Amino acid sequence: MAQQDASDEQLRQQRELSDRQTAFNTQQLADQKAQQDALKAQADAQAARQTAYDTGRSNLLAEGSKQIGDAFGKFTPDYFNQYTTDYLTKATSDIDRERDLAQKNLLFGLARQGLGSSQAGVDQQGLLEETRGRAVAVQAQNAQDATNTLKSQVANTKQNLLGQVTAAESVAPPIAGVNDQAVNANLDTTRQAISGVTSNSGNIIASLGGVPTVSPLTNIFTNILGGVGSYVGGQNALGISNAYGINRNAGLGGTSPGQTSATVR
Amino acid sequence: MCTGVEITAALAAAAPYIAATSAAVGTGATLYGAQQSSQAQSRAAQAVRDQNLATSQAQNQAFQQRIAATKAQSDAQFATGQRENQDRTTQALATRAAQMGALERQNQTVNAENQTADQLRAAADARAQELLQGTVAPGVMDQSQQNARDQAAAVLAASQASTPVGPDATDPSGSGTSSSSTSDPVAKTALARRMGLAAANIRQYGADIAKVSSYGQPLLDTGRAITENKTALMPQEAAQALLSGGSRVRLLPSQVAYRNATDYGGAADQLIQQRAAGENQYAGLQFANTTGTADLGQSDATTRANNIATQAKSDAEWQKQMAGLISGLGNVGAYAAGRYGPAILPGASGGTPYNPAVNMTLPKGMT
Repeated sequence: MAQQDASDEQLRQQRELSDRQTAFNTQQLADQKAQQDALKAQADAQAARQTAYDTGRSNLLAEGSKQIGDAFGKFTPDYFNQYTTDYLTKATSDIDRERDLAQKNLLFGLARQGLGSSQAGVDQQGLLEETRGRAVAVQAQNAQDATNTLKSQVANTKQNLLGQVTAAESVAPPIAGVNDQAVNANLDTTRQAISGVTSNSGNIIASLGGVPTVSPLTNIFTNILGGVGSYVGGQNALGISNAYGINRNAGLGGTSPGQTSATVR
Repeated sequence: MCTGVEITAALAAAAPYIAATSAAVGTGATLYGAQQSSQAQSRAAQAVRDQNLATSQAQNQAFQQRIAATKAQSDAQFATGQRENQDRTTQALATRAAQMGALERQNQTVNAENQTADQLRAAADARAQELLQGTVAPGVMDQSQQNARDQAAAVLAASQASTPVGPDATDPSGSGTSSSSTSDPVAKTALARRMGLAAANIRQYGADIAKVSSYGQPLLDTGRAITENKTALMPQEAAQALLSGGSRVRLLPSQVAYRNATDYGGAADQLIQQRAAGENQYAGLQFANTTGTADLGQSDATTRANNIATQAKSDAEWQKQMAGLISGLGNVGAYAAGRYGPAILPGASGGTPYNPAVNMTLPKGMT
């Protein structure tokens, strides 16, 4: 009987011990579950903030890129063609002005000598036009070079600005903040950085879109006029020699002005 | 006062009676002792039988109890095992489902990122193709060079009249025409011819310049295409950097969920096992206690039966000894009756009692 009582008591204690252990483990499991749920909720919230943050940054990047693209949208092929034309027009204007002056001087010089309708005058006018045309041809190439330079500047500037926009993305940390306020603050930081870049794009583009700068063109026709002077001088020498009976073809060894060929003796 | 003769006479008169009585008493005592000894042996045997019976009954009872305890433990362990298996299976399935859910979410996140990355990559690939087509495709560089020449010719032609003009109306010749500096038809013809020659020279010169300059045009176009391509790729690169930068955080929930499912599943499984172990331990303890009680009961019963049997055997042995004593006394009486009875009885020879060693007649041939 005593043995049975001892056994019953031992079994009761064992049952109680087992139940307590199970209850403790169950509570531990519940605590672990609660901790895991809290951790999961934090991770979910952080992921949601990160998605919102990345979306916001991506939108800001796209917006900034679009502003840069819109600002540079004026630089079309027509724009550069017009730039070339304007460059050449300005250069041609300078050339034509000098050509006109030179032509007048030539004609006045020829007229003073009574050579207005001479072959020499015609040839000098032809040389004058050739000189003008060659100068224009050179300036046409310069215009194309300037256009190429402008194209490269535009491309580099656009790349530079976009580089600044993308660099502005790195101003804020890549990982979203611990709450929505931090996310918004970081997005504001990025927005301000990008805004600073895009707002300057207008000034930068304005500096690119200025009037073409053409190198000053002077004394293009000096040699032509010099040649006319020499021709007139030659005519004068011919008149003197005729007046003094000097053989015009003897001793000088050169080609007389007005002749198409010379015979060396 | 009696004299010796008188006493002898009295004894002689009483001797037959004494001898007869002694013989009768001795014989009775001997018989009584034998009967008591037999009864003692019988009780001792009964005590042994009782002991054996009690021991057997105790053993049988304890055996039954042990059998019952073993079956109870087996049933309890079986039930515990069934429940443990069922609970562990259920928990394992739940853990597996949670893990698969976490993996599925991770796949969805990765797929979404890959989809975006594919779009970015496609845009970048398109730009790369454009770059290749615009730079190193067959004939592109030659075409670039030719384009530069054509453009130069077009620009020059636009700035050049078909035939260069001569002096205008303000010239000193007073011709009033814009195509000649003189009214002389010969001079005008000469001037027109010279201007035509000049125009041809100009076109040739312009073509020569353009030809020389055009050699650098492919490199210029290629360099610009590279720059523009880099520029076009920048947003995609930045977007990709954004995508990859936050990828780890976006994948974190699924990773945490997977780890949680694994950890919780393991803990729950341990709890189930611990509970089952506790129940098995309880069943084992119950078995041990039951069998212990049965063993103890059997041992008690065996010891009690052994004690009883031992006591009974001791009592029987004592009775047996007493019976032997009584029987011995009876034998003495019978001996005395046999020894002295004939001498005092009337007609007795008074000779010595029969001695087999003396009186026996041996068969012939034996000594």
